[in-house]
Amino acid sequence: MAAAEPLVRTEGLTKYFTSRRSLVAKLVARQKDRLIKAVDDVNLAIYPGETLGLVGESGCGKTTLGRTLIKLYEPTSGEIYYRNQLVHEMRGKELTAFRKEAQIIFQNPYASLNPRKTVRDIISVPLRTRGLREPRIIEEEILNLLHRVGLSPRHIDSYPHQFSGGQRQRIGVARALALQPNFIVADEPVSALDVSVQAQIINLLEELQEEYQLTYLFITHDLSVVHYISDRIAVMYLGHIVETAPTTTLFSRPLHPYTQALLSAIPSVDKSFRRKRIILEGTVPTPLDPPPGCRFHTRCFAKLGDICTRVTPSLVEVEKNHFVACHHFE
Amino acid sequence: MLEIKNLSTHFPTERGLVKAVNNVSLSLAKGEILGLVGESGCGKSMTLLSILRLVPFPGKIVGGEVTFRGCNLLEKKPAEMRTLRGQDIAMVFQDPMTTLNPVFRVGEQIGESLRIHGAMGKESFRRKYGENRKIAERKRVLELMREVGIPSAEERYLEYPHQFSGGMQQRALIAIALSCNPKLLLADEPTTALDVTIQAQILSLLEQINKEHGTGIILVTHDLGVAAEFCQRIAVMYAGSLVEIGPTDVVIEDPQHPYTIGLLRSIPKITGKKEKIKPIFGNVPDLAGLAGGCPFAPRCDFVEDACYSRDIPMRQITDNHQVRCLNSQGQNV
Repeated sequence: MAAAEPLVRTEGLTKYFTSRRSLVAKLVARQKDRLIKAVDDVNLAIYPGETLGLVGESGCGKTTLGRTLIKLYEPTSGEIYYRNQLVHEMRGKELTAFRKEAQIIFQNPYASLNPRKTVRDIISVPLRTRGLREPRIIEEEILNLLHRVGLSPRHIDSYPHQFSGGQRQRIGVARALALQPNFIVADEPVSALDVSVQAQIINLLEELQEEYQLTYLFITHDLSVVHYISDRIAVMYLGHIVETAPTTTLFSRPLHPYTQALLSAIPSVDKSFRRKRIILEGTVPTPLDPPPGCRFHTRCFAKLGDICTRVTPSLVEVEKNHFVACHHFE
Repeated sequence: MLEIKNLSTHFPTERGLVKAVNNVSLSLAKGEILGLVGESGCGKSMTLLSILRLVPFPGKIVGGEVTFRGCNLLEKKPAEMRTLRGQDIAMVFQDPMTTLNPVFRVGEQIGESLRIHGAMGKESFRRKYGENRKIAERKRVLELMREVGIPSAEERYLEYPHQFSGGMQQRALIAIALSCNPKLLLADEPTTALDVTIQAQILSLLEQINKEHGTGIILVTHDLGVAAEFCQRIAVMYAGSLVEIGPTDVVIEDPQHPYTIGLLRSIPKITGKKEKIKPIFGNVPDLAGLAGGCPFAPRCDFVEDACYSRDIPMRQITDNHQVRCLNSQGQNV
């Protein structure tokens, strides 16, 4: 898989948000606008047909990265290539085509569906974008999609509030599928759901991937889910990717101290997985004012010394396909 | 220490009677950690609130017994309950952001329960922390904050909840709960709003409290992994009923109720080769107008006609392993 051309590739992708101060604060307290460094210098490649899991704790920039990749946000700097084409240079037809190919499934099935539209309205919009005009064909296609995601035809004229969380997420999946995409960013698609329903959606996403050769970026904070669904995993901490590796390698030989702590913290029903728990000190620093050098050095238990606080480590390939950003491996 | 017998809490609603807690019986030994597991809306939180008699209107405890250190809490006068809450039985809520009062300093909020329960009037307290009430309160609060691992307690004492991170807020709540050295701690999803690395911090804090003070803990969680690592016994609830209860290893490795089996199969395994996860089909039922019989029957793989016809009794499988299922072997309880 790794030998193929990546479907999506980023070079130094960076996204900052500005946290504006009020005029009063600026004049009186002389405060300046501040930058939230949500995604900072990310190099990532996603290969066709694979599922790349993106894990990290809340506020680490996973969602921002996912949204920037499909051009829902404009990057502050850096490049995104889709099929070796620069995304920010796309215009007109090219851009429309990209928008169709790259879709997203949102985290919160309660907030991402318009409560005043029926399922028919919600799904017919992307179908018309795809160029379908005839109402009969559109209806047929909607019914196909509903069937595919496991909803019954009688649901077509229902409103979102009439569905349970799991069913709503199925509607979200159907909406994304309607454009016949290649690349889907799944942003915590199951974290709002109960365990027994969560498994239904995960299995559905896997079946769809096989059927339509989809490529997923699967964003989640749940490590057992990401272990199950991903071929490769990227671990993110405060806007930086700190480690990427094939799933089995990452779980058997995590190299970055943060990954090690993260994996050791998963409570598991599986006794054989339990390992000595590494309890990290403190909490994640704010992305408004991230620590210099390695972003993890404030909580790291394996700090080398001065170099960690001064120099930001870059991702290096330690073994085949296993990249780590840590001074221990430079 | 705590014994719940046939506890039922009902909510009359427009759509029908909701049996949020339906005939639940369980017990907790001194210094034990019990995990109460189930999906959202299965009645876990309501069970905890029923123990404290804090069920919100229009809910009502309609039957059963809650015996805590020899007395039935359901027969106590409201005033007696008030002294008990926070002093002998304390609760840690799920969402620390909404539980703390945003307009009071954190130190003050931790000190409040000391004041309310008159802990500072006690002889031992005065001897330990001094005669001056204000200074004594401050000393004890700082001690509590340090115990739950809030760094630079002196400065944090004066801060407001919004200046605390989620994990720190949860620690502050635990400090409030611990302030009167309760015998029993009810923790309602204390780590659900937190990240995994912070969750690990809070769970090990609770473990440490349990070891050092011998505090009994009932931990409500939807995460079977948390329960499996942290609790000595696990009780599984579904749609208001207790469906299985037993020692952690038995429930995890040899579950008997189809719902417990289904739950465990829905969780992706982390070790070994990839096993396909098997979801439970269908959805959690609406509790209003739930027909008699086993509430899990419509989603069960082993359902028989008899499952729908009558209420299923709890069956004793081994010494302390009980299951509510007709297909299980064992004696009716």
